Formats: sequence, structure tokens, C-alpha cells
Amino acid sequence: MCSIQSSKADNAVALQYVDYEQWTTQLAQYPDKIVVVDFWATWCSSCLERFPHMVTMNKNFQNKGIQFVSMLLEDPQEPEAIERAERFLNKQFTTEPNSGFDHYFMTENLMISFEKLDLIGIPAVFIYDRQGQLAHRLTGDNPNNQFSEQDIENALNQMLSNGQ
Amino acid sequence: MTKTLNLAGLMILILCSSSIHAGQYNQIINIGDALPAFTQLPGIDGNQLSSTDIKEDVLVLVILANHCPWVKGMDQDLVQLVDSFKEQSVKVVAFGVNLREDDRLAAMKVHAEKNGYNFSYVFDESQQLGRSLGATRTPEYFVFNQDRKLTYMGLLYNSPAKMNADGSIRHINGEVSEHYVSDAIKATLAGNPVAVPETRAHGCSVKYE
Repeated sequence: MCSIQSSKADNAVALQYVDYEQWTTQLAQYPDKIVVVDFWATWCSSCLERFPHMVTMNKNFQNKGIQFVSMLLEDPQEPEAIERAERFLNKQFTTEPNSGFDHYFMTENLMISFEKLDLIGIPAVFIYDRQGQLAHRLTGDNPNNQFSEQDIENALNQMLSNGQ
Repeated sequence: MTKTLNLAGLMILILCSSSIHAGQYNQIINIGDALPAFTQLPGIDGNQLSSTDIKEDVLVLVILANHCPWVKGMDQDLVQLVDSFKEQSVKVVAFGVNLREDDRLAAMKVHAEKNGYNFSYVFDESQQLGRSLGATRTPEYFVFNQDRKLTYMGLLYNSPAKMNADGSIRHINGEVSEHYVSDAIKATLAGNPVAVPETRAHGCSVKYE
């Protein structure tokens, strides 16, 4: 497996570049943690609106053994979009660049990424339990079952109260 | 006891039925399902449109959102598609569902004029049509036959296009090689089954309130 490439070292917040296979391996690098993965893109206005809530949740939950991760889904052939995403992330974490929130960019063709993740669209949040199993899959793929920031918090609180 | 078992059996049947009726990707409707009726949706032309007003042999519904770069990227291809079927019995109706200001009726009028829309464009403010179709991305297409049964749903073509901030357009899979909606319209007009009846829609999320 190739080593994971990171974006500019002088960035306060750096993106780690992964293909789908590397990503599945990378997930195992958070042993004994609940992992919250926020799938987003700069072309997704709902994702941008939600992101500050994810930053707040990261602050509120990180001392409970919960790891927040963002996964950027942009066209790999569009470097301007990736730069735009980095600028956005740096604005989100201006005061706390070392927030513990990890950031990845999936390098696959955009449609392949959605296919491999079995997603129709974003925003979407996947929550893995401490054993690495996918415990919650929050998506907008059903008009009658959309999710909110509160649903993410509820899922995490439920997992914690169940001894996770 | 028997009643309890019957009730449990009925519930299982309902649950199974609902999963049977979801498509490969669409979680609400499936190929062969009936067109959800819609009534008096306000259009950008000042008129109202109901599903019973449409008499053409083929009906194409497409959900759009003015703000969405994936809609802006394919706007001109949609206009061309409509133009290519203007001599045939095909009706294209676009509809907006999002309630944010830049996607509502006033903004729809501006967007349609700017982009030379040559088809009906109506506002589904109750979001009922969008929900009934299981439409969750913009753009997302639905083709119905003369009996108003669904024959195709999903992408316009196999290389979605996004408009960038500088107005340039880029197809994410390179040159388009499969024209799903056009092929579906042709097959449906001819009374033939559609070769690729469902594709995974790609675009911006629809926000249901």
C-alpha cells in the first residue's frame, strides 16, 4: 500500500490523501475509539452549513474517546476545489488548528467514491463503534428519513450510554 | 392469538412490500410504479400545472435547484435534449423543491430566463412531488410512459457536469458516452423496455423540511 500523502505542511489544517482501500485501512488506525466520519465537499452547500456544528461536536465529545474525521469528496482533477476546501477548513479551525479533528481527501474518481461508499449523495455521516463496526449510517438518501445535527449527537449519546 | 399472528404477518408483508417497491438506488419508488399525481403546481410562466394536464406520450420529470453547480453544469444539455424531442410527443417538466430563497419561484424565473429554458418549470412548495418520487439529488430524472408508469430514473448521462466558480464546465468522467435519458425516451416512445432503467443520481442534496 502506498503511504498516505498529506497536503502542504505549513497549513494549520492538512488534508491526508487516501484512496478507498487506504481509507478502509486508515479507519483501523483509531483503535478503541468511536469514529465519526463527515463526508463533505465545497460544492455541497448543506455540508458547508453543517460543518461548524461538527467542529462544536468535536469539542464536546473528544474527551469521551470519540474521534471526528472529515472526508472530502471532490473531483481529483479539480485542484482549485481541493485548495478551496483547505481554505475552508483553515477558517473553521483558525483558533484551534490542533483540534484533534482529522481531515482526509478521497482521491478516487468522484462517482467511484460514491459507488464504493454506497452513497447517493452528501452530506452523510457514518459512525463506527469502538470495534470498528459501522453502527450508524446517516444520509439524505430517503426524503422521509433525513438527518440533523441532533441525530448525530443522539446517536453518540446512545452509544456512550450503551457502554461504547 | 390468531389475530396477533395475523397482524404480525400483515406488518411483515407491508415491510417486505415497501422494500420490494424501492429501486436499486431510489428508496421510495421503483421502475413500473405509477406517476405520483400532482395538482396545480405554480410555474414560472404564471400558470399552474397538474399531472392530468399532460397529454403527451412520454413525460419526463426532472428535479432542479438553481443554486446547484451540478444543475448549472448540465443546463444547456437539458435545453438541447428538450429541443431534440420537440417534434415528438414528449413533455419535459422540471420542478424545484428546495425552500431556500435562491431556489424558490422568483429565482427560478430568473434562472430559466438566463439559461433559455424551453420546458415547463414548476415549484413544488409542499415538497410532496419530490417526496413521492424519492428525489434526493439535483438534477435527477424520471421518465414515464403513456400509461404513466416509470421507465427510467437517475442521471441525464454517464458523465455529470459541474459548473465551476469561473463559469467553466467540467464533466467528471470525460466525454459523455451514454445518454441515459435520451435513450430512455426513445425506448419508451417505441414501447420498448429501457436498457438501463436506473442509475445512481449524482448532484446536490435536496433539503426536505
